[in-house]
Amino acid sequence: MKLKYWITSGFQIFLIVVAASFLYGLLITVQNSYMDWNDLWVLLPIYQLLFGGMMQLAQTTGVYKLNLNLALAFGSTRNEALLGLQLFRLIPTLCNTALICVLQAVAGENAIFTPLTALPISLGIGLAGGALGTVIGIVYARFGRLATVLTVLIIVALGITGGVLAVMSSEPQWLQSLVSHMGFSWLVFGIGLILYGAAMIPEHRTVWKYSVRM
Amino acid sequence: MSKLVCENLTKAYGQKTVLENLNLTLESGKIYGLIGRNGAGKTTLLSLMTSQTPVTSGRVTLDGQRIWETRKSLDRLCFSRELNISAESGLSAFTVKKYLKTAASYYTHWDQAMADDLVAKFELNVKTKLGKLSKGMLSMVTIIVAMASKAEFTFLDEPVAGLDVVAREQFYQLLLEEYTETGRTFVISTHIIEEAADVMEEVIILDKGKIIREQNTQELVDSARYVTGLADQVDGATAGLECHHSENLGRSKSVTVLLGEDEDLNPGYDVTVQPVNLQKVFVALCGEEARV
Amino acid sequence: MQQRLTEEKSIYLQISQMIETDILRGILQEEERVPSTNELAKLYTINPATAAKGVNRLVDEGILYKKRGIGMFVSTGAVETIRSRRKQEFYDVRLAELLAEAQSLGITKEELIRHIGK
Repeated sequence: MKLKYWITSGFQIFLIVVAASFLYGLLITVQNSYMDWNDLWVLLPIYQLLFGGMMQLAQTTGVYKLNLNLALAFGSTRNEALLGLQLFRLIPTLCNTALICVLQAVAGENAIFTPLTALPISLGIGLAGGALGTVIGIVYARFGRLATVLTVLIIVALGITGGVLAVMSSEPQWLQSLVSHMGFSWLVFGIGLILYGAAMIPEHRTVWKYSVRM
Repeated sequence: MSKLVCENLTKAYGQKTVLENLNLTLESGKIYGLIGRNGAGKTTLLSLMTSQTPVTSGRVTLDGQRIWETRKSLDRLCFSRELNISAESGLSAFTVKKYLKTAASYYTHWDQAMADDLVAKFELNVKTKLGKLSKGMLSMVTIIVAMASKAEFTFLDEPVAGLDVVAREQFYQLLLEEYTETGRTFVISTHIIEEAADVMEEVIILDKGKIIREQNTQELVDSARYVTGLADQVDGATAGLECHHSENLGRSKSVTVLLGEDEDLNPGYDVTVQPVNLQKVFVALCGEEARV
Repeated sequence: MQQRLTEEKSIYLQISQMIETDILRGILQEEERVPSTNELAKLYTINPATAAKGVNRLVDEGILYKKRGIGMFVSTGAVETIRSRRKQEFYDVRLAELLAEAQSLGITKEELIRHIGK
């Protein structure tokens, strides 16, 4: 099994997510005089969710033309590469989720989520991000330029969703109740899982048919 | 002795057939040269043999065992590809060190000491990004991966591209040194035929997706004759023999003849007979319709 | 062993001829070890199999002999063997060529002997 490179890369991405979230949280905390250090620990999981999902989306686009290409060029089997790809995506998502849950537990009363609601939400966002990234990656590997169009469309769609959420958050109780509702968190997880599972079908085909190019 | 066997290999990209029904057997402990014109299918053949490209039909086996999806077989192979790093390729941001480290994590028999030695020998700076390396330096990197992989069957695509004459000589010396020490099998594709001719024991000539010759290099060169003289004299001397690349100039005619075993030119004709080097044999075989 | 390879002749023939020439010149002496095929391969950047073919040709002619596990050695009497064969070749090939050329140029036997005697 030739998975070392995938596993190392997975952990690297997790570290980048944590570092980016921490730095961003720090920046926000320092900028807003009414916030104190306690707020940083409360905010951190939010940024982790955000950056975790974004990294999944961003990383997987280049992953075929670089990581998969190298793995196959250096003698991986297709099955090993396929497994490697899953580890590469799931390691950061799982680690990120674990850290979020721990931080939420530590934050106690101030926490936005309970650890139990954070778990499915974080996994769901990670999986959904990975799935979208996979699809863009496949389109990029197969059709080149078309992927750029798809990326733009996905970003627009995410922007609209974000906008709707922002509007809804003007009525905080409603959002609060939605987020804290267990059913909602598991719905996010379910959607993520289905998207991820669906993305694995074209991914399997792509990996199986891939020709190395340098 | 180990054998790598290609059976009825066909590779098509959409409507375009690159290799058709190709059969080839590589025996361990030899240095093979793979020569062919641009687009003949050399890189595709090497990719198919090492599972870097899936076949359209046919199969490749190593000692009877399929190579495709077989870890045990793949552990014995290394195809160090020619590196063409474009600016948008993710590899352009890799340093030499990172690239070699990645290779090391994949090759089961990787020899780090050898890789370090060669980096020093080629005077490469490991902190340089691949995107900043010259063509010749990229060739050095591919040579290092091929050598340090310690794979039983090692394939190199254009390893001397962009190397100056001193570095090319250095490469052939290195190759022979490694070969005599370990008996590893090497398959090397190249366009600089004459330099490599003396190094390769067997030559495989690929033309338009087909192997048109696979022979001991010295035997092939020894069997070739360049025959010139009056056209009817040349025709008489070469009648019934395998002739290639015949050219007429006024009354005179020239032709390259490949003699079979125990064959010789027909005696009693007034012709000039000269030896032919591998490059000329190659041109005679593959350059037939390329003349203006 | 300092000569260079040309393209005019088979490489293995050139290898055996170079070894012969070195023996004739006393660069390699009788009962002395000759370079191994691997050494020759590296020296001339040629395939060891080709170098071996050149060396084996000399073994077949009794000019070299194998000492198991040690290497190839120059046989006693190798100088004489080479010299007499080359002499024969000189008469059979070179002289025959020379005479043929002389004949085609209309040089008479007397003329030729007179020039050789000069």
